[in-house]
Amino acid sequence: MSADPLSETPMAARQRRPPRPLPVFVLADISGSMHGEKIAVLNDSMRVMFSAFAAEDSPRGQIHVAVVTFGGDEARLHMPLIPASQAEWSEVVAGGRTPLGDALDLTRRLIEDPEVVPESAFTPALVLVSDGAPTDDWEAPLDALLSEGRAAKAVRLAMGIGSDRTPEAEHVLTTFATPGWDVLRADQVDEIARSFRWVTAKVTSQFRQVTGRVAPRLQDLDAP
Amino acid sequence: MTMTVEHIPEYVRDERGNTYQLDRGTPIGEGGQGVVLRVKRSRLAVKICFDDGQPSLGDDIRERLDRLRWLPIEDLPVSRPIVRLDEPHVGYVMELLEDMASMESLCQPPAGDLGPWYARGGGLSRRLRLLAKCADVLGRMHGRGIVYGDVSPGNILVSADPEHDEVWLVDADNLRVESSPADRVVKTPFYAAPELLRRLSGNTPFSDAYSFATVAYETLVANHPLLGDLVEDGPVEYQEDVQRGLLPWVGHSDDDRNRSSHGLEPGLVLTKRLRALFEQTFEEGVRTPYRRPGLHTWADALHAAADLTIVCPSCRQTYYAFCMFCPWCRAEPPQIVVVQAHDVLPAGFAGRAQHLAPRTEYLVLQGGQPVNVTARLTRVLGGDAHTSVARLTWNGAYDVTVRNVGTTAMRRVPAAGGAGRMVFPGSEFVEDVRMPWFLHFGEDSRVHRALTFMLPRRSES
Repeated sequence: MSADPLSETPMAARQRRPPRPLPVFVLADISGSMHGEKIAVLNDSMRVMFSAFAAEDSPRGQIHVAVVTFGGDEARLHMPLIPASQAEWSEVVAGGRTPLGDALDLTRRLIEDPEVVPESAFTPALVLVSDGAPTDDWEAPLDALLSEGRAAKAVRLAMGIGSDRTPEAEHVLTTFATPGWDVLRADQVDEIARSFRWVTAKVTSQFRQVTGRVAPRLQDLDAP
Repeated sequence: MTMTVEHIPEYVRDERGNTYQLDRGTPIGEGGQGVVLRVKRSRLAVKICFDDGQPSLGDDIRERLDRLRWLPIEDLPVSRPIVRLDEPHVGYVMELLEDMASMESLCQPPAGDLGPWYARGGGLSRRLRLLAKCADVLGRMHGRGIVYGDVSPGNILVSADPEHDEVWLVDADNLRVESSPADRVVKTPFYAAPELLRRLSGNTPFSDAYSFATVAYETLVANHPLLGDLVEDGPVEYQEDVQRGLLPWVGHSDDDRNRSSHGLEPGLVLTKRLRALFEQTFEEGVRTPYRRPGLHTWADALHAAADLTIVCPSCRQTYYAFCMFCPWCRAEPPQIVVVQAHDVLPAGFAGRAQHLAPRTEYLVLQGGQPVNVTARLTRVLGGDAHTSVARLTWNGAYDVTVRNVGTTAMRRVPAAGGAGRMVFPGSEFVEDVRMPWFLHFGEDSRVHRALTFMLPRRSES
């Protein structure tokens, strides 16, 4: 007999190749300003989002979802990365400050961890769900997130909660979003899944080549 | 009635009976056709035309002023005539911005050292910028099929304050659609193209280009491009000959008979691109008008040259960043950061992946001196090239503060790639020149421009 371990599995019990994961990290704002109706919208939106993601499952790809919540003193991993079809939303309660920077840092560490996001995964996507006004430094962590590795290529969507958002909050959301992508409203939550269908097709081809970065000599400045 | 500068009246009257008191002390401008004087206690000026011996001069002026009403120049910085002067004077009243002086103050140096005079006029940097703006205006006119006609220092007004760099053209009555030699040709001696002097042609965009090149050379080098040692030390007839293109210009590429031992060193106030444009104008372009560089080409080369200038920390003169030391005082040059433009070709356009092709267009930053980036550097085509899109301030160490002063968002993308992030109008961020990101001005799906920052290599060679 051969030493091939596969031969020990009966043919009838062999499995299809597992679909390639498309990791989606949801950054959910659960700060004090989300208290009341907004946090209810968030809880509802999450459930709608999960089922929309689960509906996208195919042999070629499967959306996995993780949720990072930020509120109070720090961000935490509310739900680890699991297939959307298996995800169950446990309700969150709003309170405290808005440590968005902390959430971005945590997300970056998760994306860079091969134990969490395997090499074979599609380019990850990030979804920020917030009413917008961070209380910590979020620009530097965003730059760090965009600078290195897989996170740099992540597709970013922003979803605004509540109709009373300030221009500053709007700025945070639009800055977070991938350039050229509008901020989604909470009532467009099923649009997110449609966006991701496009994303799955698009992200894999989204590579960039940089050439010709050579510092000129002073005399080169006087080009004929 | 014959009018010369010596016979300027104190009062003139317009056709509607209004009287104007003229400031006769300092004419604003003086061209081949007349003199422009400020009206006392007003924002008006009066142009009085010299009698050129033609009995129909008054009718001619009336016709030219009528023509101006339908030429499309509303958005150009050209002072428009308001009302015609009454007899016996020939001329008109025009609007005027405050505090403008003629370009003559920047190209006709007084006796004595050139350095302090050059510096008073804003130095090399401001001269390049003013000339670029003037070329822009003329280029836009040419684009609309209008010929200016009499480009000369007296007809170009610039901000009197060296802190500002506005440019206005006067003598709008010369504007025309083109002219044949049979028309009344307008010209100022020493600035007119050879074909006008030889009566081979009327005013054309090419004759404007020749006149502009003459003004530009004189302004930058402080020496007239035709008046070299051969002409100035030779018989008087040589002045006629050189204007008709029979003698070489001072910077001729292989005929050094008319070199000049006066004025500034051309190699230190002209970039290679500018030198090439002057050679094209005053060599091949002398006999072949259409071979002269057009006004848009001049505007671009002049703006590009201005973008390369730095201020000497020691003597405050401006000079090109590629000089090994300050040509005015020989001090060490300051440290600089170089901003380079790239053409970004989208994936599928020139290969499978996106391609950033570096351009040989640079902008130089000096510590603590904010610099505006205009759309000239960041747009591939079209639009107003002078709109400011970003303001850059280098702190002298590793930080460049970039402020979006435009009306559209730009994108910062890390060197490693990715989609980057948006920088919205009115917002700013700090870029580290050791690991700079690319600053994109356009969508990835289209051909667009991107900028990046670099510390230059200081090589011995």
